[in-house]
Amino acid sequence: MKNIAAVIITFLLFFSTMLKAEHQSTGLIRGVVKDKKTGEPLIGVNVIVKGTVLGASTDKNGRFSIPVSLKKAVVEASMIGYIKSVKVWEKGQKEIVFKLKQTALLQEPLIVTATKSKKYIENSPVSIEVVKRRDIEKRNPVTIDEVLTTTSSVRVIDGQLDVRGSTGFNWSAGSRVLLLVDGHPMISGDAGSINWDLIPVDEVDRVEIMKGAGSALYGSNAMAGVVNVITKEPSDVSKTRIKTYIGIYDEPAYESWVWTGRFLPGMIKRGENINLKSALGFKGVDITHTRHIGKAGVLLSFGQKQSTGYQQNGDFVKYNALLKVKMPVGQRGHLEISGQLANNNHSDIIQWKSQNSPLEVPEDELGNRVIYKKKSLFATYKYLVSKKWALTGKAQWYRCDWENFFSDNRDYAVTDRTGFEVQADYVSGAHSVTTGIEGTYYKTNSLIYGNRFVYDLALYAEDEIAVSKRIRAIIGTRYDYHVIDVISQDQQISPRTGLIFKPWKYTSLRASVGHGFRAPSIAEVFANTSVSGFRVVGNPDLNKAERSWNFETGIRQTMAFPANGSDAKFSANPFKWFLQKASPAFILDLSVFWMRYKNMIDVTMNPEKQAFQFVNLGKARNSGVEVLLKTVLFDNFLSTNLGYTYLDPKDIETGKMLNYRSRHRLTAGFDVNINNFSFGMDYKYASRIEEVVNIYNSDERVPVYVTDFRSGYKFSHFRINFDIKNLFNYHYVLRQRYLEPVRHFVITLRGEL
Amino acid sequence: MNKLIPVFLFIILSPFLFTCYNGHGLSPFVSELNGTGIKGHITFTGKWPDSTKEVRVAVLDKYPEGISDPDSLMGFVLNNLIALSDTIPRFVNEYDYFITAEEGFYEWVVVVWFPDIPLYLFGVRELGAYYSSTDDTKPCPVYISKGSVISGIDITADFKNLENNAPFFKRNKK
Repeated sequence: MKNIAAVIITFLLFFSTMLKAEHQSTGLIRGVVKDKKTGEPLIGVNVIVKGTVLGASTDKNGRFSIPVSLKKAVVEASMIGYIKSVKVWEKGQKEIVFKLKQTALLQEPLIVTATKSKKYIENSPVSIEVVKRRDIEKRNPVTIDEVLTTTSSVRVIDGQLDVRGSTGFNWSAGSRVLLLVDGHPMISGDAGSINWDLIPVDEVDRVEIMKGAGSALYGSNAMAGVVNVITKEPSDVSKTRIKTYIGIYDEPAYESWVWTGRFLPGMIKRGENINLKSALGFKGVDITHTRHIGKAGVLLSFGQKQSTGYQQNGDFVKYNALLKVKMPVGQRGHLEISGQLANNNHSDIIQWKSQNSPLEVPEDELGNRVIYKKKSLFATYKYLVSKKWALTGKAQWYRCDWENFFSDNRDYAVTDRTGFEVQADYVSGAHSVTTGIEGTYYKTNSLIYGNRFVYDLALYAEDEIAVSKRIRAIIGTRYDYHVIDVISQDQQISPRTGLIFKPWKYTSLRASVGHGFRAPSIAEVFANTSVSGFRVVGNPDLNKAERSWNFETGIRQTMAFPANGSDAKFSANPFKWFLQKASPAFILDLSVFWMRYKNMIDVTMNPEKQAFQFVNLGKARNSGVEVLLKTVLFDNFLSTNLGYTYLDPKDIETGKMLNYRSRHRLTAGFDVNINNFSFGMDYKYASRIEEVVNIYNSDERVPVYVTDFRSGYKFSHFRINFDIKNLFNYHYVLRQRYLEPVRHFVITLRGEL
Repeated sequence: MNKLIPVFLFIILSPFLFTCYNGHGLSPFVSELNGTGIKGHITFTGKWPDSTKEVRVAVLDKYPEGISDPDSLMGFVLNNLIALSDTIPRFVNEYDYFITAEEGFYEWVVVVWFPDIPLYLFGVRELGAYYSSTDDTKPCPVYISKGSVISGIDITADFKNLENNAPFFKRNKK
């Protein structure tokens, strides 16, 4: 422990020395970015000074300013839908004017998750998929996880994230995918689980899904991926956004499953008096106001959601609030503080009554409730030390406070997760170095785990090297020291290396190898509980982190065929004719991946104690192939997306497939835009889950075939949507004895004033 | 409007409209018979063996009188099975069950155990059956009338019976 303290102190001293050396007087690069065709100013354009850590975004007038201490600089402006532009600035120059030209190419926004610094997606050594604001808005999700599952690589089972078959389902104890919100970890301190209702969906700008080992930068939990939710920035102008929705559930496909007369379509079918108040459905409202107060940008959001559920014990009432403040501190600093609250009072379903009554729960479990309160406070301070150095300090506090009100269980836990991170970015010549120090302390007071603590300390460094114009390489590692209460301590070294090769302008080849790990959560080590006839006992011998090696290689190809006015004939050259008429643009991404796990943590039956327990199992392997294709045709009239993931996750010792995984997953979707009207569909297929934890292993399981329909009409400052989720009323389970939602209809009204 | 657009819409929409429909997936375990059936409470005693594949409640129209070879039980069950419940969650101490079964007179309502072996159906064993409170020498028959659910068919399932080749064999040997 003394050695670790010494390393940390040395690290901080090194930084303070570097800061003093680099601190110099400043000047300003000022400029404006406009659309070349219309001359209108462009808002939110990323402007960077190449070869440095300096950058800014344009404001409501398309203007930007970047403090520098340079005589000359190469400045680049980029935005989705436009060709990036580069200009040279010299000291004394009044301003730079960028005029960006629109492009038919499909583009993704700059991403921050792959290397903890902004970069273009084609420069990432690992697979990244971005769910953009538009993708979220058109799908009208209640919680953000609903949108993530429209990509073939992501599955969410009972709130638990699974990227490329990494997690399966682990009874919400321990996630192999790290969830970040604006770069801050958002997993509960006790079970390492994810609370989706803390994230206000309408305030999400984009979600970056990094697939593969992220432990080299993010440590535990990121062993198989990182999902980073980036929320919207406070606006420069005063804006109020409101979204309200109402939905109803349809009856299940089988009459014998209809457990109540409260299904509205059933009331209509039977010619009964319609009682809207008692109908099974859901509704919600989200209100956001954002403006500038002095130099500070402020965003305040409040949401309320409630549902009767479509099954017994499916009801909930949820409240959430978000306050985000972003302000400049001096010429070189930026401070961002955000606070979030969520209160969730919901009934709980452990298992259905029977396959003949899957929407009902056993009588003694009726009325089982959970009250779950979450609070978080995140602060990020960014400081541009010089053209080469930038420092980022982060602090976070996240409290999860839950209590069961079950007929046979009154467990509770109050867990605090407190953390800090200091990150330094250094750019010099061909090198971009990201290095940092991170510490997290977890403390729980609970009936289920006892009073426990856990802490992590880590150091990391990664160098991105521009080997040549076409080749970039990364190499990095992270050291983690992990302590679980008084029972164990563990150390991990997680190296990562990767290579990006761009043989042609729109082609990017990538390969990476990384080590990942996940330390056991408090829940996995200490949980002692009994619920619904099941007993779970703690395992103090669970002292080994699960480890993995991940390898991935892939190719990303972007292409566009804008109409050039030539008059191609179908009879002469049908292919050329199609390219001219449809002017297609597409992105194709193909990956091959391989993971090998050691000491994998999973739940198993302890025959001696007649109870379930989390243990370190043996070795496992997960390999697969993934294809993603996005296309736009007829100048955005028609857009399509297709994703396919093949998985082969195996327990090496038994040869069986890992639990709760599907071998094939397919997602497909399209959107049609006709002036202000649009409609689209999403289709999800997953092959039958082959293996499950041996509790109800003989229960029937079926493949997943789910189709969602959406439509929308835009008028004035408003947009109205009508969606049908689970259009064909397909019934399936992802975990045993929990029927996923039946068909439901939603009307949403969204406006911005 | 481009003439290609309707063609492309047809190509894109067709798979959604024609191939995305795959029925309704999971269906009721036993066909609905207007709520006719039996229900009760099972109390498990003894330790759940690790070799358990599954445990269910079975309703049979006959009691296996005269069978003394435990391995021949499967044949009897197949010939006389009226209804079989969902799998009972492993390692529970008690469980409320409900089985849909047609109107009729049934001699044997029994909790059956299957071992975790490749041909597990052939390893079926009895854990316990429904007895009346006045006679514990032979399982009590149950009569289900049309449209009614007979409740209180409570059963004690004892894992020790696995060691003794199930109680009914002992009874038959007497």
